[in-house]
Amino acid sequence: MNSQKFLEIWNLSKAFPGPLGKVPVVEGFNLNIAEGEIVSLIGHSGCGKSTVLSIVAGLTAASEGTVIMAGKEVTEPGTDRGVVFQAPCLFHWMTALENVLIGLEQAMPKATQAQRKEKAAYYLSRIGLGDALHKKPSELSAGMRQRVGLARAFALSPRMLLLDEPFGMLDSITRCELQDVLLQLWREDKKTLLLVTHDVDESVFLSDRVVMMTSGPRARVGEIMDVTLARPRERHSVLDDPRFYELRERLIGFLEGQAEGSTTALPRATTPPPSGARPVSKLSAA
Amino acid sequence: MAFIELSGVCKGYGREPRTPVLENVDLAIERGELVSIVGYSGAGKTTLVSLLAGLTLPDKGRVLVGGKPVTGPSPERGVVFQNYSLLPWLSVLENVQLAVDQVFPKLLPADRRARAMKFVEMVNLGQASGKRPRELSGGMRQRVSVARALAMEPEVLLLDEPFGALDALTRAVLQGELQRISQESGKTMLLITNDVDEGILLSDRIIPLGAGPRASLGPATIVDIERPRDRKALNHDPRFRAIRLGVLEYLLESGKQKRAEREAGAAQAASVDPAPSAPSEPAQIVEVSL
Repeated sequence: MNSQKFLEIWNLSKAFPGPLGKVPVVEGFNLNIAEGEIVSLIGHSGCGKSTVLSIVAGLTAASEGTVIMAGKEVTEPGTDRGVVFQAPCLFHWMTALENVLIGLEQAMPKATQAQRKEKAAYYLSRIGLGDALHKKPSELSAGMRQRVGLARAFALSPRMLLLDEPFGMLDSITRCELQDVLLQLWREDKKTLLLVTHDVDESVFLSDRVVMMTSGPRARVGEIMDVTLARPRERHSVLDDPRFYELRERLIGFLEGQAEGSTTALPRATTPPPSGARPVSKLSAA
Repeated sequence: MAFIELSGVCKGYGREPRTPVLENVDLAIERGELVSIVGYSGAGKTTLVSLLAGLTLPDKGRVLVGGKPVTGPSPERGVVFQNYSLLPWLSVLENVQLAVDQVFPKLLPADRRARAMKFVEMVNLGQASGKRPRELSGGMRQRVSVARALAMEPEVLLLDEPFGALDALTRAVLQGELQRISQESGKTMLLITNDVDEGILLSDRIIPLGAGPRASLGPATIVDIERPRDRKALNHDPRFRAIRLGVLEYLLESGKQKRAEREAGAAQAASVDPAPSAPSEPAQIVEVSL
């Protein structure tokens, strides 16, 4: 296996049934990811980012095309791929520790409970929840709950982690904190990460490459941008680096271009009103 | 004396000992100023708005608007919430007019209608004035909410994460409109947000609210960038970058400190009481729903 092609996505297409026949959401999507690489997929809501991730996770079947990970075709979910969703999906009656343990019982069936407990506690303390092992999700803030979700995903030691807008529900400052936590975990484990996001800063700060998707239907890879900022990345030096702002601008420019090109967007107005009522644009007065 | 003044304001919730949310908050806003307060969710931003709106009263300290203590809600202080709070059975125009009818009962019905329509048009919803909220997108609903607040001709407009529930594109459009409305009306506005970029884009001054519990305001930064401000141009502006970095780092640092305090507290509690923290108290986490 070529380490530069740890994950290969070949000519991926996915169509969903609609009232007027099949709607092609993603069509002809190609991407290779190297082992240990952090790649983010960015695009507007509904462009099919999550569909691609879900196919790689094995949760959705592709209409056409193939996904190969570590030389094996992906056909179903497996413990070699961990998934983190926007909502951490914790069991509300279990403590943080128990929530991490339950996955480990599946992933480490031969270990003793004490070994599993140690591993779960280790990951929880690494992400700053050492003092909250025995708390229930209802006693944790949204940011802390998603920390538990990250600890659970990393504790399972998958070869690859798929993150679907993992910080989308958090405020922008908590989001920064969790990005730091994610990078800190990655530094030690060097997992391959595929991250879906619509946050421009997040994608630049975290990734080695940012894959920009065109707006659907028939979404595909529009451009790929290399992020050559040095690692380990510290927020202060990254935010102080003029290259960060150049990369940021390139991404914003791409996304704005996609918004204007898409058939649903109104000229400089907000989301389309349902029956053709176009707001009179007064923006030019500003 | 400033138009809006908070001095030594403390506010907590629950039974004694109360969970402290805000502690020693001092804030002064001049007439016509647009100030934004940026902070974590759960830090107490909404509590701060509620205090200014008169929806809740401080435990300690003073809240003055126009030199008078705030004792309850008043149409002089318009509030825009994140969740729009529109009446679903009324049209766009009727939702706005309801507020006008309350505040200006002495006007002729035709004048009240004209006034409501003026503000519906100001937020670019003239053509959708007969629609009901469920026929509108999130961005359009929030415009109605802004129009309704403005139509009361309040002295102050309090905006509590007004664009928090919107997608990035819609948010950018509405930020542009708010910038225009604020310039045209010259209203005093307080914008609460968790988005540092939004705070810098729109305001005259930006102030971080540190992490909770016992949150207090950090140092204010004057946003000395000429208007109208363009998002893309800002990206290249070293002043923008410096403010952004300063505010963000203040907030992240305050979050780190509070976490360290909490962990130290938990370690101390564990050493005093070796029993596993059984039914632990949720008191440490303050979640103010936004």
